[in-house]
Amino acid sequence: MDDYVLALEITVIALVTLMIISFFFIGLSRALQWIANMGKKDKGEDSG
Amino acid sequence: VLERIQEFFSSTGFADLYWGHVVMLVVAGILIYLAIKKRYEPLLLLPIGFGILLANLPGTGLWDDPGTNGGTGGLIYYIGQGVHLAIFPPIIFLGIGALTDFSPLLANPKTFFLGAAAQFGIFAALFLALAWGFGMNEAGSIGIIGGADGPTAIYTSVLLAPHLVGPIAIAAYSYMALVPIIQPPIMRLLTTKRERVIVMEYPREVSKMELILFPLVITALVVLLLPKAAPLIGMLMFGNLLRECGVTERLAVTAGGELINIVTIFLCVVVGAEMAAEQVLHFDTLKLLLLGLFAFGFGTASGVLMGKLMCWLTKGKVNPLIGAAGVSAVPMAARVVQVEGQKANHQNYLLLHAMGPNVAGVIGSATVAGLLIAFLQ
Repeated sequence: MDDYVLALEITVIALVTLMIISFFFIGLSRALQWIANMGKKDKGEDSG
Repeated sequence: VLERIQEFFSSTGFADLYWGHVVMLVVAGILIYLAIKKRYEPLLLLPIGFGILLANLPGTGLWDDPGTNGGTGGLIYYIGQGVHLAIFPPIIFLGIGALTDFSPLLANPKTFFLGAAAQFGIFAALFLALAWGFGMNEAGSIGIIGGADGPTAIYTSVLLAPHLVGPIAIAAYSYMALVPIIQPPIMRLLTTKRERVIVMEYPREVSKMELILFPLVITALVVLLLPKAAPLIGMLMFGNLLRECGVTERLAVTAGGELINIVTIFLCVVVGAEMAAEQVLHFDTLKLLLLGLFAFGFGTASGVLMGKLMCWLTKGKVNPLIGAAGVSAVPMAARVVQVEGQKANHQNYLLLHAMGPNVAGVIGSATVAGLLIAFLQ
């Protein structure tokens, strides 16, 4: 029985961890895209 | 003279050969046949098959510890240290990182959910393995077959249940080779024709800076959350940084070429050599193989179901088939999605979209492996 409880705990923690990483990843992707766009914009202004 | 002949015969491998060895020699023959004739994962199944062949020829002493019968130790004993000290799988991850393009995932980050959902198979198999009488560590190692990632499965089982490394690796690599047979029926069963014909928008272009920052940030995040995942995630992302930074091309080519090839040879031969008849010919091995298949199928189903949910939430912008690619098995699972998508709609090109969940599955399964190791080791 203890094994099942531990398995359930691991499952719940894993799912929460994967969800955290997924949401963080979406935010990260947006942030990286924003940083990249800012870099492009700065470059455009410098050359302009 | 007769005595001499008898003495000679008793010193040969034939004297110790029994039916179990013969069964395993047939298994080795089947794997080698599948690799050469059917071209099922030949780079993996051929060395594994040859390892099984070596392990089931008695009297070789290939696995002998140093000092056994006054000898210096067997060849496989020494090469095997790379597996038993969990060195080879992270090195293979370094090569995989150097070969992986994460831009489809960065272009459509929501597909990370599909890579996460496809890991459900690991936990379903974990519970089933417990119900079938396996211990907790064994169940965790068996469950990770559902991650459909050979190095991750080997790494986890080496640390949690070293006596199961051979059968788990065989199951993981065999099911990866059988992705085109296992996945399509599940994909068709869980999706409607209307869902399968959905054409997805072409993903945006990803900048160089995004590709460079990605491995750095993911390493920091995942390793801070799960320090035990550091060897796998760290090496995967390091390899990817070598590829994307643009100044270490030689290192990236080596990591994704010669290095991964050399380590794959050693790893697979050792994994095959773990399959001696005395160790694997019992009912538990059959149960393990069935559990692995269940994990794989359940992972595919949960990926597709998450795809259906995303399809519903986005009002039909996501083709649920791409969820099946969440079970790692790069790039075979993504290719299967492409084939199934084209069967439903000849104009549909899902390969690029399926690569997102496919590489997310690699990160997802390595993360779950780190978590299992953290709890169970």
